[in-house]
Amino acid sequence: MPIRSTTMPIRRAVRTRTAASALALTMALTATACGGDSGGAADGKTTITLGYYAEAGGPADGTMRKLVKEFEKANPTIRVKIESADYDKFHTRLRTQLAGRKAPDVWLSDGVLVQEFAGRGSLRDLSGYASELNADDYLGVDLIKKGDPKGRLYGFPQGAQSTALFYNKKLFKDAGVAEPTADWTYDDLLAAAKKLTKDTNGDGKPDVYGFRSYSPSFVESWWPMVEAFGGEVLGDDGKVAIDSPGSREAFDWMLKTMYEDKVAPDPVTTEALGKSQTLFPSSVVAMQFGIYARIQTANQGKVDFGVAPLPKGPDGQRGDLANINAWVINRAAPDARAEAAWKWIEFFSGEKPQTDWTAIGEAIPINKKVTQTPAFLSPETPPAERKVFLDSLADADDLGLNPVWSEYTTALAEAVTGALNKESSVPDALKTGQDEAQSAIDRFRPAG
Amino acid sequence: MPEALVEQPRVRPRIRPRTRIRFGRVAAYLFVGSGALLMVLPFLAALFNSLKSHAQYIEVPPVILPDPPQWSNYSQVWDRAPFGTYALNSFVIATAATVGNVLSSAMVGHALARMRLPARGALLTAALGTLMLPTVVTIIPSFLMFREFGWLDTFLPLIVPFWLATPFGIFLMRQSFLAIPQDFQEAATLDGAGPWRIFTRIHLPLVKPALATLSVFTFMASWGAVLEPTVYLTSPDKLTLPLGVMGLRGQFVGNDQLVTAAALMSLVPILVLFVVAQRYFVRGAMSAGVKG
Repeated sequence: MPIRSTTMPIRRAVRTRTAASALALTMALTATACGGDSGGAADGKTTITLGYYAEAGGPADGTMRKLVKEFEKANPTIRVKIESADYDKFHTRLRTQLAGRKAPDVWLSDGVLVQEFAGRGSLRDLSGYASELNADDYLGVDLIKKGDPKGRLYGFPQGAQSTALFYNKKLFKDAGVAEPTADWTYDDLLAAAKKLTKDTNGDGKPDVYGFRSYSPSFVESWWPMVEAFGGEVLGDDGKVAIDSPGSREAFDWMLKTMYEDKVAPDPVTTEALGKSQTLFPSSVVAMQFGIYARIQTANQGKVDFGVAPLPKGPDGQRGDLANINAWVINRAAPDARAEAAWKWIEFFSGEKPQTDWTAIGEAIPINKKVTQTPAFLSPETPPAERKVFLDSLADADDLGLNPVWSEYTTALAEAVTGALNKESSVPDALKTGQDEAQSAIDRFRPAG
Repeated sequence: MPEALVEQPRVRPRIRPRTRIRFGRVAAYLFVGSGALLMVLPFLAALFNSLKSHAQYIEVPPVILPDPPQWSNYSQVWDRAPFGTYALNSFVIATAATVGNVLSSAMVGHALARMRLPARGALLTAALGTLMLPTVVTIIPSFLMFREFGWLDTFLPLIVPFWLATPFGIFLMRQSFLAIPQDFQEAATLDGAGPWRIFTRIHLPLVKPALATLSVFTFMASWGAVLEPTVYLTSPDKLTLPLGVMGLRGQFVGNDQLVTAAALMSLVPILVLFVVAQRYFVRGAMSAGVKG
């Protein structure tokens, strides 16, 4: 038998005990965090799960949590459990939760996704609830209804986005160019863009571009241009209709700005300069089409800027577009929870919560009374001309909503970006885009 | 040519070898130093970016050094979300998952390498076959299963699967056990050791490097996991560090400087862990040579 040190068993025992203690501690902490929440109503309260997307600890998240507390105070029989995450993670989780029938009772949906959820049978029709309200008091109800073939209301407006022309006042002043007006046409835009484009260091490449033509966020790029030049993306019959003379004219105009007149960065340069949404806040472009929420990014860049209506196309059309983000109620939610969820929606649509939400500057309030208050019309931060967004919203078309919006617009965007990169011709890209987008729509079969 | 001059013994200047050595060393240091600098550049860029204001962050052409440094970015991150809780959650999950995976994969790997089992090869092939399935394919069935178990919004879906062995762990451990000479097992058997004693006293100590490797891989994978925690965890106090970092991203607002600061802070716990534990990993690797 080998001779063993007498200290060995003691050391081993100590080591074993230390390891065991560490493991026990880990397991204890794990067990502490492993208690599930049944969400029961043992105290007679109805607990609803509220889902929304926002950056953690940011103004939107903070305001939403504050409003939830006020709602609970005003409705003592309702308790709200919050499930929030950033935009991407929220939707990744939501889609899995819907498949597993464990989605929140009420959640904030990007307006373009309402029909995706409705078409798969995940949402309650809110028409009955909304009939108690005067629809004329709220913005965006009609645009949400328009997305459903039968005109049902699958979401109630939470906040609205419409499009406008953002312009950098300092760059305009430095170049001696008059600021945009409501009468501007695409020719005026191009003429101003030429004067605003500057190569300050003489390396043969512009350091300031007059306009941002291309953006992967197509609502702020080719979509309104197509509509302004007389084309359309989705026809009234629900068929993709982008392959038209008007669309070709719009894309030819974009190509001219990027490759011929060189007053706008092409897609590759856009990425190289730091992505499309940083160009205006960093004063690399003097003008861009933007939705209301871009006010936040422009202000973050400390840009002195204004907004004007989108320019008019050859036939006087502006191609205004709007997206109405909406509260939706889970179809799987029992009646009691669905009613409590509707109370939350009613509360959020009220004047006080809408005023608080307006202060963030993320969306146009959907309560019409609030849109006429100084909280919206006379904000502390630029731009002063916020009425431009209301006018745009009044004339706006929706974004060709249907249950496969993400799929068909992705197919379209891939095809037309090829043309904007000069990898394919405009007619070929439009034909390919139309065929592939239509296939995506045709493949879908609505639930039940 | 004068003879004396020809016959003069050649005396090598003593300084020459030293110079050569010094020059060689300097060249080596320069080479290694420039390599190290190259490797550390992305980290420095992240550090500088984390100290910029958003306006500076998006400036074109980009500025390298923050002016002035926004140290408040780091305090803002802490104000916005409970990063201490997130770090503790990540640590608990990663530790429990690592312990579970190392134990279970070692046992399964040992059984497949050293025990006579029916359809041993088929079992291994089936386990390896699951490696071909991306998580995104299995996430919904897994979600349904964990929902039935009542495990949603708990740490269990992120830990328990690791206690049931993972395909990579099984493969790694099996290969390591296969490399041990059969003689050890036979000698132990002659001395009266049973399968459990052979596993724990003979074989397991001989595969310490593989155990260390599996520990590191599992810890890293669990620490950096995004999809599963996103889907299974919903309560703010149960989120993990990667979710906390990404949660700072705004849909419209640019928070890149805060996200970078948070990402750098999230590196600290794992860096500390590896600095503290690296000698154990090295010792584990060396022990194979000594005991084998």
